[in-house]
Amino acid sequence: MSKHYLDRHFREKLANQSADVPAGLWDAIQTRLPDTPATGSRSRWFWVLLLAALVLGTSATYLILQGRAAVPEEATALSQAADSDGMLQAQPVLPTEPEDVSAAVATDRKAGEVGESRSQAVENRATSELIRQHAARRTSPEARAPLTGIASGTHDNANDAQLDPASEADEYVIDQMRNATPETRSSLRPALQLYKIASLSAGVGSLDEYAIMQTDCYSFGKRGLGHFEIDLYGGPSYATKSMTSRNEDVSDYIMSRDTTEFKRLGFHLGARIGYHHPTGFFARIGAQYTQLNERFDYENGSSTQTIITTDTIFDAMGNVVDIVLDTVVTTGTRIKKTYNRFHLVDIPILLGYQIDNLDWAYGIQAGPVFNVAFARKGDILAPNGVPGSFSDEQSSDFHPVFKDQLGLSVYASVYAQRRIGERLYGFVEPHVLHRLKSITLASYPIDQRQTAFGLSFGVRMTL
Amino acid sequence: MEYTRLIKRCKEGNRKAQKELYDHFAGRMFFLCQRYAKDQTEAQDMLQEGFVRLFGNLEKFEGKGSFEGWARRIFVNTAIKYYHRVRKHNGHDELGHAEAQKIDPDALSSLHEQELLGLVQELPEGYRAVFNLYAIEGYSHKEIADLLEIQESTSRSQLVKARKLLQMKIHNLQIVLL
Repeated sequence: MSKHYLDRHFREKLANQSADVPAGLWDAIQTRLPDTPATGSRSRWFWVLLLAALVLGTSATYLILQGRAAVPEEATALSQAADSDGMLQAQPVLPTEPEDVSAAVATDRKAGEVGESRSQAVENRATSELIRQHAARRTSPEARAPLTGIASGTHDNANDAQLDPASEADEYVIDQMRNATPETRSSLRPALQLYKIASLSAGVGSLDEYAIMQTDCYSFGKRGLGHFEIDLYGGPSYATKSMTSRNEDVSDYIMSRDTTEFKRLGFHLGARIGYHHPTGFFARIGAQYTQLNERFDYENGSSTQTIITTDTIFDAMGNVVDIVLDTVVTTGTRIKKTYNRFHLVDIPILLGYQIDNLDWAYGIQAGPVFNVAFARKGDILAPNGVPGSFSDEQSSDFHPVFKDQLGLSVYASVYAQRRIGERLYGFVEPHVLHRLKSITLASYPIDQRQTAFGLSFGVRMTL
Repeated sequence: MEYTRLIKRCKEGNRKAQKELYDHFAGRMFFLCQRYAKDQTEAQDMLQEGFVRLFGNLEKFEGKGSFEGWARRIFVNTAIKYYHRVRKHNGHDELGHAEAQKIDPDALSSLHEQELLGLVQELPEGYRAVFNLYAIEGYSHKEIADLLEIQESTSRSQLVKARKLLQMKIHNLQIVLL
């Protein structure tokens, strides 16, 4: 046998071996390490708060600027409402306001160039609302008259709409389109689309007859396209998990965990801000908090407990000596039931498309979700078969199992929304959120993936 | 395996991350310490000291090369520190006359890791250190001479004597087994 062979044999057998580490060694090590600074978790929460502040700041700034642009200094904002007969009335907010929409428009036009941009916003809003009212009446049976007289007449007075023959309503809408500037057309487009859909749904007119609205309305890249919106939502959540062995086969352990962990209903809350393009496409970003629940139910019928009774005495030299008086080993059933909670904070970035249909709208959206925090509290069956805590680091039976952050996930949902106010919508949105990476630590023998399902109920406010 | 994020969190002083890193490497590093130590108690001390040094020097790890290789060097250096401490107190050990013995390759292959580890642990301090560094870690005699503060020729001769001693012990085991 060569000497080299001896070296090689020892190297192959001993170089990468592992040994069982005595318990308690980590405790001794960590007492010699510097105290844990809070910078890690602080920086994480710092970014969460910064992002939330940015979202809120942007929203607030937009709202303030929007308010300044829409409300003239003379306080001539209009508040409109339909009366019980479905006829439109313009209600003055302040005594100085004009009596109806057309008068407001006329007054604004006389105001000269200085006030023109401010009054234009008021005029567009009033016109949009009139068109929406026409659209609403289109769906009523008595209003389903054939489309006639398009492009004839010059009705620019809003009160004409109160006459309500379908043809005159069409004339009013067409006139608005013809007389409008490109910017105004962009502003009116959502209302015009609604009108067109309502008319076609009621069997009034054809696509060709409404072509002028479509061709004249599209104006990409202009100011005033689209709108911002804010979502507030919440609802129940439910998570499923899949577990696989990481390095060595631990299928028995996986089975043990499956039989001791039971899913329970959780919940989620969230807020989003979005930009909605008139083409129907939108982008949304927000923050979502989710609490997922589980019940850990452990029962061991052959558990033993050792009770050692001791007494402390002094020996002849004055030293303290513990003497064992009695040792009793009892066998029984150990039952441990814990309600585990998992808290997650995620940042979803979503892209989607929405189809409008009168007061209803339907959308689909999907995108990446970034987990910024994953906190949890509870118990778990450890690989050695003994239950222990996965959250209490001070506990003697602590088992590090889960990561503090879960990284990238994907989110997908569909929703239906209904108009419940002038700028307010209610929506219901089932969603699925799948974690792309394992939620367990690399040192833990099980690779655990998570998919959460939720049903959101929320309100959406357009800005 | 990717340790970048884990190491980053350890550098921030995150105790959970440190525990995770410990759980991941403790077994392998404890075996390494056992090879250099004369008994379990000393191996535990080495492991403890090694991890304290590892976390204390983590800032110096720049992510170039294998983290496990870097960690092993920390523990080997810790073991050598113990070697110097023992040598300072006990002086240098020398083997008398050990004759190289013929070993049956099958008998050698039949020895388990724990038996081989026991053989290494029974070697005198100096032989054990040189044999570990040269045969198992792959250091050169020059590197070993620098680390152990001995002559290169001493490193060579100690390696030869360590091999002879191991061969003798394995031979004796063969006799016992037969």
